[in-house]
Amino acid sequence: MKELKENRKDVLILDAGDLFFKKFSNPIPENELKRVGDKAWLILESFNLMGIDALGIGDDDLSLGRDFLVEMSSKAKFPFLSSNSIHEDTGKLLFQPYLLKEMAGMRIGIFSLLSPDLFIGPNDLRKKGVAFREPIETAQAMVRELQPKTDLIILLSHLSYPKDVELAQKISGIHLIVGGHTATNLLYPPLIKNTYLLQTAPKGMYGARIDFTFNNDTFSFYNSTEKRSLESRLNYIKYRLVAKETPDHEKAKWLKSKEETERALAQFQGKNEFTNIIFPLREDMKDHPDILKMIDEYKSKYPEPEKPAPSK
Amino acid sequence: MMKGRLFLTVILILGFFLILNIFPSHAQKQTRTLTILYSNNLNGEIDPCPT
Repeated sequence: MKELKENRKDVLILDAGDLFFKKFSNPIPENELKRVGDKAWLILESFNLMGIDALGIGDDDLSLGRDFLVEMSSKAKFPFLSSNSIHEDTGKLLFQPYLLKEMAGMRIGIFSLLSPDLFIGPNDLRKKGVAFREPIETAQAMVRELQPKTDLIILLSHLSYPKDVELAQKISGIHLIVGGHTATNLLYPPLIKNTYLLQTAPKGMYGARIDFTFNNDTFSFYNSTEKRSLESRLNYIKYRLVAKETPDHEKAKWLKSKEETERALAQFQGKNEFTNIIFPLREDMKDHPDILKMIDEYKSKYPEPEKPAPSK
Repeated sequence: MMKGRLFLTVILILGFFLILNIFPSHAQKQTRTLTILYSNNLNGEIDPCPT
């Protein structure tokens, strides 16, 4: 990640939340607070070193409370984004509402939403002192604000996948939604109206990369997988047309199919394309030496309890 | 006379290609790229994905 960022100027690194803590089920026990807090700081330092551009906060990022997360955001070298999380008493935004970046000759606007529906009732300790502006209304306001200033709008969404679909249907002007919470593995990003939805599986198993190639100044894209699949089909058709085993009466059918496929391929000519890859974060991936050192220190400070031997 | 015309023709052709290179057409405009690395729900995991 760091190497890619250092070697190229047009790389954006984003996280859609639920970064620092395990999935919340019960309040963290008193005797675990120090360890869990230290781990969150370790992750923050690692992300500082990796050069992430923005984090959209998730409900689980509030597991140690509002003030802890606000303090972390003040020590981060990247913005914590939330366009709709506000201080319960003052009504002021708790985090930066959006980020503007210039990259690849484009002005990019990134904002973030967190759904109040993800908390477990009014007594959920994670939302103590936090209130939320209505997500759809906030999205509309953000798009209105960002559209004149940007070419490309990205939402870091912590609303859940079904709500991302609903939002993309209701609000136009968002080009990409990088989603979280439901951890839906979207290898083939669905297109809802003019918005592509991105998301990966949970627990740090996967990272993802999307590469855009702009051949014109519009901001509509096609998935290069569609083109590759048509190209493979065309090769197969060409093979069938010359194959000895193809009976003559079938050749007319294959010829028609060839013309149709070529027409479909011609439609991609000059358009913008993207390739989306989801990859496992495996052991053989090169570690950043400073991050590895911090993890080793953490593990020696908090050794994992030995697992009981399986019973015979 | 013939040599002069041939020389002029060669110069004109070379000039034409030179102009093409200096002023690339719209179709030849350099493509731009943007890469986004993204993640979600890392959930405090600091160990790699088991292989």
